[in-house]
Amino acid sequence: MAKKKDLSTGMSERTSDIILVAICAVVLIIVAYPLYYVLVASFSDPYEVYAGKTFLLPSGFTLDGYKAVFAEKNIVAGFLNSVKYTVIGTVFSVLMLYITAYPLAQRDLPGRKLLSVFFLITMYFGGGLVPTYLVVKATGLTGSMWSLFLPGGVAVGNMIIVRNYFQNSIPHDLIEASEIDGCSKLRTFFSVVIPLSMPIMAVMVVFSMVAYWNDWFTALIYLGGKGTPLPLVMRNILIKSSASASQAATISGGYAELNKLTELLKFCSMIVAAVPMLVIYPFVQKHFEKGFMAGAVKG
Amino acid sequence: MKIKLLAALLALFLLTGCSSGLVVNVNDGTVNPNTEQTEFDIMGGMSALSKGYDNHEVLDSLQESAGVKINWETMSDSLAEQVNIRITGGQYPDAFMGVGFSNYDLARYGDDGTFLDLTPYLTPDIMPNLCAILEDHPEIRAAVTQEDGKIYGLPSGEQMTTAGIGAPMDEAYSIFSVPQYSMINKAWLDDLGLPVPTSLDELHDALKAFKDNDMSAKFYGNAPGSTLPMTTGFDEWCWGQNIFYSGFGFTNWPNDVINDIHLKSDGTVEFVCASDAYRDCLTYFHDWYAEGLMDVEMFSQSDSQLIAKCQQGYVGVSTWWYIEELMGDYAKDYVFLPPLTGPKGTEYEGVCGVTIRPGSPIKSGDLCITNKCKSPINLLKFFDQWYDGETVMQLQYGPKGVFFTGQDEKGMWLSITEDEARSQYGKSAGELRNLYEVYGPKLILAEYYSGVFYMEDRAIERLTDLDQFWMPYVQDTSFYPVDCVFTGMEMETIDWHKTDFEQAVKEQEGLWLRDGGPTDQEWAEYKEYLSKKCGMDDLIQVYQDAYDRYSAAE
Amino acid sequence: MEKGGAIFNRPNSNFKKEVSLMKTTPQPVTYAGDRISGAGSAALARRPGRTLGRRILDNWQLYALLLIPVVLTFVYKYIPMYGIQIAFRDFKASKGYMGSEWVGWYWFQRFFSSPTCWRMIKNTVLISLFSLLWSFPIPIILSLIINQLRFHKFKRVVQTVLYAPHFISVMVICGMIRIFLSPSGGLLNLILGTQIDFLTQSSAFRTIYIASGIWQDAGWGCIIYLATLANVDPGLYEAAKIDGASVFQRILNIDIPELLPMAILNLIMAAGGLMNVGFEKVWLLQTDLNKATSDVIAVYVYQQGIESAKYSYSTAVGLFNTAVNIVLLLIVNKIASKASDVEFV
Repeated sequence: MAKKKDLSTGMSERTSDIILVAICAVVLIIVAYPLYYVLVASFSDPYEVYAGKTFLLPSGFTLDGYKAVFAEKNIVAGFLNSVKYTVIGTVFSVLMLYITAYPLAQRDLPGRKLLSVFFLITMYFGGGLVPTYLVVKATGLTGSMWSLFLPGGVAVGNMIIVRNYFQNSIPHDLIEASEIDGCSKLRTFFSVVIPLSMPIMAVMVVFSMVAYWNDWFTALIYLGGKGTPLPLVMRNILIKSSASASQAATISGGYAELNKLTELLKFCSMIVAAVPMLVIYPFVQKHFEKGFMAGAVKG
Repeated sequence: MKIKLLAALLALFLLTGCSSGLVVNVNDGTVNPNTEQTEFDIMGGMSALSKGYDNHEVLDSLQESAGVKINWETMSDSLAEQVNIRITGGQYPDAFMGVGFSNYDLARYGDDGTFLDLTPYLTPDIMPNLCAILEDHPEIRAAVTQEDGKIYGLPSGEQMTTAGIGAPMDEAYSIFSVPQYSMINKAWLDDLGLPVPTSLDELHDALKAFKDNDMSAKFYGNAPGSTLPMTTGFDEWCWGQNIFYSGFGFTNWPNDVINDIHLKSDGTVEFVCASDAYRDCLTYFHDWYAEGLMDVEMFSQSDSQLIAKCQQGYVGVSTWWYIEELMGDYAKDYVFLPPLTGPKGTEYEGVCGVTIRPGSPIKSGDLCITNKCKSPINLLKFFDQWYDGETVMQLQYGPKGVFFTGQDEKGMWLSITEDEARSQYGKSAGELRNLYEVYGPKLILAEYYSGVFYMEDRAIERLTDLDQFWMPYVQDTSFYPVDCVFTGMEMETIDWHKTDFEQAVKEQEGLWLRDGGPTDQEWAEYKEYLSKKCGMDDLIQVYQDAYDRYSAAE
Repeated sequence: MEKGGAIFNRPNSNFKKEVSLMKTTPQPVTYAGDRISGAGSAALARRPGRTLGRRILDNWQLYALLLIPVVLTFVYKYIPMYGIQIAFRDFKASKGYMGSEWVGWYWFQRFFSSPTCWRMIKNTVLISLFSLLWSFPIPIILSLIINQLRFHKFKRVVQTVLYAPHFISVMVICGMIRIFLSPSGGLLNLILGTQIDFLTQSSAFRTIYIASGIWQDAGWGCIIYLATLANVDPGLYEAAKIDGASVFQRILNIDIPELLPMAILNLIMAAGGLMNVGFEKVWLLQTDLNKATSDVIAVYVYQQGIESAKYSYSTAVGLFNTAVNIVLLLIVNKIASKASDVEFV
């Protein structure tokens, strides 16, 4: 993009650069510090953290939290399950978005409006947990991996975004050219629309990837303890016997010690759960940019 | 075409709806003689630290001897959510274990036939151990029997009382009688030349001195201004502020019946949160709060935060089970702070002072057999083994050879010491116990502590403190019995109002403590609100009726 | 500049269609966009003399694509709606929907007679509206700024860091809030030199809830806007620079018009989820003393429904929540369409 400097506006460009960078730097610090804090806290004695002694460096350095997390035998299985659900779920969801959004982006499709309303309504109305559970059960999905994907159907909000992208951001002349060449709608979809929609596809991939990676409630309700994903494993590690009223466990003593580990695990489990996404993200982001460039060149 | 599809799916759906409606109600008081099923699915809770129930030494040997195989589906998290939806979806196992259904749930699922009525199965043939216990303890049977005479779950409970340290059985008190032990930094008092307070006003002056002299900084070398004269939770179980209310003649412990309930010695039920003493009390303590003697964070802090503060040596006065656990390295400087006389001296003295709360109830929500179970007899035979001292001891703490290291000359089992646990398993005894503990219908009778195994050291310590130090301050030992049985209608009323009532009271209590006690008008409005909106009058009626029936049966 | 013209014209058409979809009463759709930017393709598709049947037949491939999504949506979204009736019944699992006793408005009456009902409704609406008001514009502003950054490495760092909080679980966020706001050693009190327990101040609850929400998700919200901005023809910027437009003017005249349709789309979608206050976060930040502002319907529904298994009651309360939501949605929709009319027509 704009690599050469325009001399006539050089001064104001420089000033505005400084202002923009300064704003971003402030935002960066505001956002980054708490993240850094969690990282530091995951290596610190939680009682020192709660006493407000930890700010920049770990205090009471400890690796107990991570030791406890990785001592859990389920953690590898949970990680693999999560990877599986995330990959399959993302492919499924993005596929659904595309095959729904493309037809609905055709302004001349008879019944288009009716179909759009059909999908839109589900954004605002739902049957609720129990009726949905009963249907999932009636269709025999409970306990199967597919119960995580199929009941979600089409993510309508994302679908609308993709549809609008098809309508507005893909050059019409390219589509026309393809149709004049005698390509069917389906052919155009595969040869023109999909390649040109990479930026939005990258966005949608990230959206559903993160959603599936973090989802634990669906798994909790539908999987019935089989094939537990990572967030659920982490939750299980985390939820230790608390000092709840009638639990005589507190009588045994050692509560302060046990509780210390629980508090420490809160931070560690967050790091462990978030790191895979944070590591993957820059790679996906590269695709973003590649996609943008490609779009820019062709547009 | 679409309409056809709709019709087909709708039909399918109605069908499934109907088929689950065809449940045969088996609760007709007869025994299902079938004994074909030997493999059972059980869903239930477990400790987050548990190693799981598969390959669990104790459970495996119990299954073997009963000739059954059990497929465990256990979870330590979000149990209620999963159990509820599974029952609603009709996808439930042969039995639920360690779920802790409330009496309301039991009645509901029992009435619609989901849970089996176990009354006909409680015979010496099928359940010899349990029947023997129920024979000796009719009160346990009464506690688990619903108003209509049915029993939907096997009994569980832990009778940890002062009987375990030698008190006579009929004068024994539950370990939960006084949940909060208040403690004060004696070293700071000594340094300031003050005695251990005996009245709230003296405590007030001591706290003020702690604050003014910044004792945390002065005595322990912490940062200036770090002194917290007094910090507790707010209406919390063992770390609340409630013990200090005793100067006003009551202590509104959070409890298993309903908070703020009080049974007067004449057998009438009242809520202390609507009494004038309560109003005076909140007005009085607001002054402490306003002077900065009570921690501003008391209304929002977690127990972890409290422990953190105490272990840093910031704190003058707090409450907990044990001094050592809360105060850590500084524990040696603290002593128990006895219940204190109120500002009005004798006006409240002799009324009741510290009130005690009931022990843990006998519950029947920890083992329920569902109508999916084809051979309840086989499953109940498995669970009957649990009603044996040595078995239940191992289910509660851990196997012989692991948690229990041997027997003494009286044949009593000795549990592992903290040092042994650390050196052999690299865990604290508490963690070791959590590893093996099984949640379920464990009935640990008071007599086991004098005939089967010794109570944990910590429990003995706590009971001794209770017996020696705290109970002498209790003048009126009456409390609302936790095992009262309610009718269906009464349970509806409780279900409707209890949560609203408790939450409204607690919120207002906090606001008055923090922002200043009620004016006459506010007080009148508050009482009106509790009666009209939160069902206080109905609740009093329900609890009074249930108690009257209970005491008549005694 | 022909391309630029198309960009400026698009928002209107795009938006109109959205709005028309949301309206409950059908009304004629004007395909403004077709006439202006897509005139060619529209003409191609709508050759005169084609019957409806013929057009349907022509598009059979598209209908085939839609088959699976339609079936899934019907089965897993529409059939469960049949279960909403349990709001009017005393639902017992063993008896099924039809077998459970019909109780009419009983659950609704019970909700309206509960002591904190009005407080919950008020708090839910207020938290929702204030959240929308604050958290809607910030991602737009952020993405406008980030988009103008010319240092690629820095830009990438900013983006990655801004997205990161999105990955943190609500539970950890709330734990962090508690630590940062603690009166004993909490960062905020240290900076302010005060000893205030913000979490027990009902006046501070909404600010805490919304500000932490912005911290967590504003960066994430930028993704979609940045993707949209990446579509701007670089030639436009060049042309604007030659005309001597400053960064601010470029943002105002090029970027904002490009973002508007997406922004309004997002606004309407956010309005659709207005009353869906995240229960978990409110629940974890609730203390006994901030309930005056933190008592919301979502927490109540969760406690009653999922924890206590009072499915009929929680469905009734949830249904009421949806009804309020739809009213709010219609209002926002109306305002948005008014505002955009002023903007575009």
